[in-house]
Amino acid sequence: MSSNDIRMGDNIWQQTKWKLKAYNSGFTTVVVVQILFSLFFLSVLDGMTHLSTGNMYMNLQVSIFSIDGVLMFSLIACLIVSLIMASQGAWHENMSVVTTRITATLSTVVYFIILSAVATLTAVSSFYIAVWLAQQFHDTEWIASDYLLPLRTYVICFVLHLVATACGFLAGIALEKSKLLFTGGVLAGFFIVPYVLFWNLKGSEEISEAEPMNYYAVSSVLFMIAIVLYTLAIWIRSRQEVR
Amino acid sequence: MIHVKQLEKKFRKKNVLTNLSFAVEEPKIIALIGRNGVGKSTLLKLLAGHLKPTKGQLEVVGEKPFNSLKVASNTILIQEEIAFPQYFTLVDILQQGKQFYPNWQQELAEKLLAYADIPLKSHHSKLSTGQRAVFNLVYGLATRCAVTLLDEPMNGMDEAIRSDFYRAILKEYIAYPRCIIISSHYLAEINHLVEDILLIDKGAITLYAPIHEVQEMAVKLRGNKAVIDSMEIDEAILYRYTEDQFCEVVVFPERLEQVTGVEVLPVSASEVCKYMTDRKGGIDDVFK
Repeated sequence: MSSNDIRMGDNIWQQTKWKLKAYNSGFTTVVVVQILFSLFFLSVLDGMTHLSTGNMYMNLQVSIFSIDGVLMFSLIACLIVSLIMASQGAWHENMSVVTTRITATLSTVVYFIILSAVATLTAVSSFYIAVWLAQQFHDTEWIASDYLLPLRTYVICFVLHLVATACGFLAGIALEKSKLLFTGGVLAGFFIVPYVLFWNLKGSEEISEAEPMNYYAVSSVLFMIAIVLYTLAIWIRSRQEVR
Repeated sequence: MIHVKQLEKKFRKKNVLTNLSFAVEEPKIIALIGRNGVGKSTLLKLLAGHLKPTKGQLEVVGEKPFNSLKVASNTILIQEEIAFPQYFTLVDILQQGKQFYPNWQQELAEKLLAYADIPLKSHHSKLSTGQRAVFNLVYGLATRCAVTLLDEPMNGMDEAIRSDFYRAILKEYIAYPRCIIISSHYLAEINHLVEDILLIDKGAITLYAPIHEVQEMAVKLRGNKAVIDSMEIDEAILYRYTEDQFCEVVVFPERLEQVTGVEVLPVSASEVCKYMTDRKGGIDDVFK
């Protein structure tokens, strides 16, 4: 009878691949939410008509699409997916394969990183997908801007998704342990996070396109918050029993 | 292979296991017997690393199980509440086993499931209780882990399939000897299968011995109450039943000096375990 020896790195990668297959619905949920809200915003904005009379009595309709709304719902979708991933059901499913608490949690974190990256790309491109879908059902001619978003937009989108998944995951773990801990954590997060987020921006102007460095400063603070939350989640999970 | 020394497990203030010690040095099939709620499942979860001991030493394949990847890759715990990803079909789950367990037996798993008429395209959550039990057991056997822990694996299976799968366990054990611990309430059913009995009562080990020794451990004396009383065997009595002049006692034979005038009957291992864990009085006392 031989003894099986598995390296930790291999096990984390194996579990990540397994989770990507087992929980691919997480990706579908986020992408569907993004496209649905893109379509929703397009249809709402479609109703906002700006009329102007000028030469040839031409009517001009201008629709402005903003990525912020899509991003907000994308973050909520990620938060809910991560909350579900922290549930007892998913925790027990981990135990049907070769795992430890640490490798199970680390592989979940890797899953969230991949989810955040995919959600960032789809959120940014959701406008184009929505326009393409709208064109299939409407006669209206949509002209999508071919303006490429700057790298900092991708970076901040990515870290925002990371923070959302980290918050959801930690909140889910806290909820499994005690409702009091969960409530306390949510309240603490509500008051502390905005303070931590903007502490280094005191005295500076509002974040704007003109000040790209502020984007990176906020992104780095968000990234640190995500790391702290994930570390906390790994620490709690590594001590948690499976009953 | 398994070393347990003065193991204790508390849940909040409730002591579930107290001062538990035993060792398994070589591959064998062990029956884990005990009444409801004595800590059988807790012990199996401790061995699989799902729970952390409150006190004492616990080693499986040379390491402490809690958070040990080596133990995880050499141990499988099959229990009723084992969960698989919701959207996975049985094919996906078998694929998962192949991906994670180096000794995985795909062909064996498929053959056993085909024998039990379980379609591979179905989902685990959609199976009947009995089918789910069969699938879980097949999954456990196909992993060929050095330590296979089966927590009441036959719950929900019909009698025919139960006896078939007891045989499957035996055949798999012969093909690939390993340490198999089966927790069960029906020792009589697995008598032919197991080599040792590990009996737990009130959180501690009451008995850990080879089954043939347990089968010879006690005898039943049946006869006239006055005759049995005259034998002065009160200290050796495990169980006593009297009705008018009729008396039946179960005793340890080594404490008997001479038996005359009463019927002597063998006691099965299952009965020994039952008598050794008997509560005070019997169910009849409740109705008195």
